[in-house]
Amino acid sequence: MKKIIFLAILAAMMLQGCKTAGQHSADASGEAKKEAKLEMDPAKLFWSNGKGMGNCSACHAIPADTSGKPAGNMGPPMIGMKDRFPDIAKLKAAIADQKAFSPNTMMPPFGRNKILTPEQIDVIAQYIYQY
Amino acid sequence: MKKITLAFLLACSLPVFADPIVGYVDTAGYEAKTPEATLKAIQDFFHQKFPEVKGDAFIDGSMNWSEGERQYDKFMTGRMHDDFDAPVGYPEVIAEGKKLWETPLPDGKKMADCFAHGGKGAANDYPKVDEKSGKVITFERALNDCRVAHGAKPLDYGDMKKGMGPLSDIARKLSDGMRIKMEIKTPAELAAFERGKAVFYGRTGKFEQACANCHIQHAGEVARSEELSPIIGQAAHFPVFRQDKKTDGLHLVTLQNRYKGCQKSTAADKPIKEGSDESNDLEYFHTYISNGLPLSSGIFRK
Repeated sequence: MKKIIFLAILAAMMLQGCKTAGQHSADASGEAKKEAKLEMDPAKLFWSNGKGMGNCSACHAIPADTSGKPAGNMGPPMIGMKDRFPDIAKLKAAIADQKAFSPNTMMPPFGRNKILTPEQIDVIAQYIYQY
Repeated sequence: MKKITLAFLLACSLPVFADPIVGYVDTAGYEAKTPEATLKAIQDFFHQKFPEVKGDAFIDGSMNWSEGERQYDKFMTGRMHDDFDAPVGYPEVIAEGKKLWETPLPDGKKMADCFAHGGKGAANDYPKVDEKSGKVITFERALNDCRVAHGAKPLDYGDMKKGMGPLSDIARKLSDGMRIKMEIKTPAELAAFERGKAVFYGRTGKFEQACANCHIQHAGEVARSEELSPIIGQAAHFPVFRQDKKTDGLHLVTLQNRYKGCQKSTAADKPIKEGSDESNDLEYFHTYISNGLPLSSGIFRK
């Protein structure tokens, strides 16, 4: 009986181990790829979709940008940002995890789920802060 | 030691079918306790949001309020009917579906023999719940069951060129115009509805987005350049042909193939798979929300 319990615990530990090992290797290769071409141009991050990008324009428009790029309207437009967010830290926190402020939002938790790095969130916040 | 190695290998190779649900979106219908109340809450929400859209008009989705979408669908439907161009892909898929429906199965029976009235109206008897197993049986599953019962191999639910896609399109066409008439009464049916509802309102993937975010909460708004359609009416008009951006032709998309596409666009690591339990449950809930609307198969949709 003891042997079985021991085996079960060992198996559970190994299972956890292989899970984290799997995650680590996946994260490591993902990070390596990200590091190789981590996008830091805020305009590209804002307007482009796909992996490694911000996808911001899928939901948010910049009315002052008249270049004609398609932008969604599911989220509020990027306008009067300094008035709406006198403290830019709050804007960064919203990009990182808007669910913390609005539980039914559909805005992805870019920081919490590591979709963007803190540095990328910084440059995006600076970029939209001018509008 | 051998046992441990085996357990380790088994544990690592356990398949994961879909991203886990990490919370729910509390929008119209979420808090309703019964299928009837859920449907009513969603209908009320949309009647308030789009007072001009009534009854059967819901099957036209975003075309109800977007002239651009209307024009797009009009031109592409024209192409489908060879008005000015022979679209790539589309005729081949139709021919494949007809072949799958009409060619006798290994024991000599035909697909039409598996259903009452030669298959006319059969799609409208699904999705239903198998009382014994509690599982949702879709029309596509019934088509595969028919094939297997008469000696043929089941078709791949995710194959839109030579698999279930083309067969589903042709077989569902025989129910065009019939109105969805789902009733949810037994405990097994209620459980299936609740499971499907959880998938619809459940947040999943890295973006933590739910079907309900786009197709209830934000329906009628624009995602980048795409108008978001309301949940009501969606399940009534699949499979659809959509524009293939690579070939500029048309490609077929079944309802469950669309679920996968939606989850791919919202960055799910393991998008929900065609023919999976989650997908079948979702189809059960989703179809109920289109109750009373007429079916149509093989139409063009953006």
